Amino acid sequence: MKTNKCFSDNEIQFYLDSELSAESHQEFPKHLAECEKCSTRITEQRRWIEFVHTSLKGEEVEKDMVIPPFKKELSPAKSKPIKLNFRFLLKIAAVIALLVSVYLIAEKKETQAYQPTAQELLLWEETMQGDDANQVWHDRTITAVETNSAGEVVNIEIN
Amino acid sequence: MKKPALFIAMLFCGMIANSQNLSDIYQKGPVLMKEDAGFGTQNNWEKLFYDIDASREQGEDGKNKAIVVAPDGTIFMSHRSRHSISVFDKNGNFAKEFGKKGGRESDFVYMPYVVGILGDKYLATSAVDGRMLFFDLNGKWVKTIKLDYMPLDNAMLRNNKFAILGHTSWKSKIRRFVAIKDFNTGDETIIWDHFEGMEIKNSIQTRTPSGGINTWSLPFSHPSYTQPKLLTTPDGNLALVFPGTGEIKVYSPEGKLLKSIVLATGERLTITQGEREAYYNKALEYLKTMEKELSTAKGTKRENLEQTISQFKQQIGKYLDPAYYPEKLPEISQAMFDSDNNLLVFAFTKESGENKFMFYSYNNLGEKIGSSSFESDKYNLNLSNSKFVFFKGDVIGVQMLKDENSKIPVRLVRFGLAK
Repeated sequence: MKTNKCFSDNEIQFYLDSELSAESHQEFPKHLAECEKCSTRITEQRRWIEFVHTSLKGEEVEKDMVIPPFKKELSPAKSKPIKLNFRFLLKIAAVIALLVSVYLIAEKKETQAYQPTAQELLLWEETMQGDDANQVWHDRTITAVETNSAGEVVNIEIN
Repeated sequence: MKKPALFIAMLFCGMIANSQNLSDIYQKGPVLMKEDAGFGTQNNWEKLFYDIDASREQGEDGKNKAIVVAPDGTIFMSHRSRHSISVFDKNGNFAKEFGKKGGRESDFVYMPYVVGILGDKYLATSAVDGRMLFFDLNGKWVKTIKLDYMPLDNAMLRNNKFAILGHTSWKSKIRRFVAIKDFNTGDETIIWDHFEGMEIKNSIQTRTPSGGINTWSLPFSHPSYTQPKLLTTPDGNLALVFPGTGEIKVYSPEGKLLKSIVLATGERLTITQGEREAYYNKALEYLKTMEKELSTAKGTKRENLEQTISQFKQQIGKYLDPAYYPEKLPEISQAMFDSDNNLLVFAFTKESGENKFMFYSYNNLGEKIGSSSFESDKYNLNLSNSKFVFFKGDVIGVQMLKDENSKIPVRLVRFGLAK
């Protein structure tokens, strides 16, 4: 069995920042095409980045938006974009970090119930094969399972 | 007063006549499973079972499908190669498919198995990570219940409760247990517990130079020989069937033990030298496959294979060694209730492709009524509860054709039981 493993949060961030190796970078679109979960995560992450950029940019004030009681056009000095000081940026970053954490915790809670071990996966496969014991006996069923050095199941054969 | 009494008497007589129907058929000897030619006639099997060739090596198995049947005859089918459920109407014709892969609460993270109908209202599905999704009978998601263990079997009970055969790995041991859970409150009661050591018994293990481990099961490590089977009794209780001993325990949905009896299927079969040799030959086939693979392998793959083959050869003798087999086969190979409230208990058979069952009335569980077998000239009958389901005197099955050349060997089928 091939594991189509989802990307970690760090890997997603590296991908968006174009900091992955060329090989890993090429793997991403292939995985995203198959994995709705990662696609959703990456979309959410992109949204946050856009939000951060928008928040930090400081929008220019259009002349037409100047309204009474000023009556006249604002002087150039007054129409300068607001300068964001370090403390303000820190506050925004903290809020964003908090929201991202809440989202990631909620996502994790949503998708993870029980994490079976490699041996349990084998047991699951054998049980859910749906064969009655008489059939298993007469078929002389042998189950083979291959795990990699990290203990992950990479192949299961039931013959 | 007379009319209601008469009506009840007629109903009672009708029930008795009905309950005798299937056992009458069994009493007459082997039961021929007659395929209903009018069932599922509108289905295009190639289109419906497009995933039939999905291979287990890819983590899928297109031929492995499971069904449950709702009270109105609607059939729900899960596939070991899809994150969705197929729905067939009571005539076996495809109606729709619902569910999708995803991370939302209503999505399937892992491929689901249909495991039962709860309270005549909800379809229950289960998955390897313990997420049980419940849908109404129109396929609309209702609820997800997350278990903190792996569910290996389920039975839907009355009072909106369901039983689960759970499995967890502790630090130094494995825990297998049966829990009864309340659908509404989530309350759980454990009614049976079993612990065993973590050491991998009954297997051959080899280690590769790159740190991987290959494991091959020896004959009696398969869970179907030892794991208790969970059945829903006709009155919505839970029956726990222990294959090794033939013991059956009946529990109320509240977890109270109501009955405990041992149903002997007859003389247990002794495992012969010939049968051990057959297993050994199967292992030799594996060895040959690996040696063939080695002839073309290069680099790290070659090194891993060489070491695996060498270690496998050293241990292959276990398949011949009587020490790795029990003296006799277990008492029970399979158990199920038919739609007339009879309990069918299947024994192991001498020959492949055969089956033999003893049947008992549920109301008088200790007393055997008789024995019989099912036969089919067209299908290799699989008697698993997820593939062979009694419904109103018939059997709805997802079964394999005997014809090996058939492009789509798996079919949804309705069998009439010929007298």
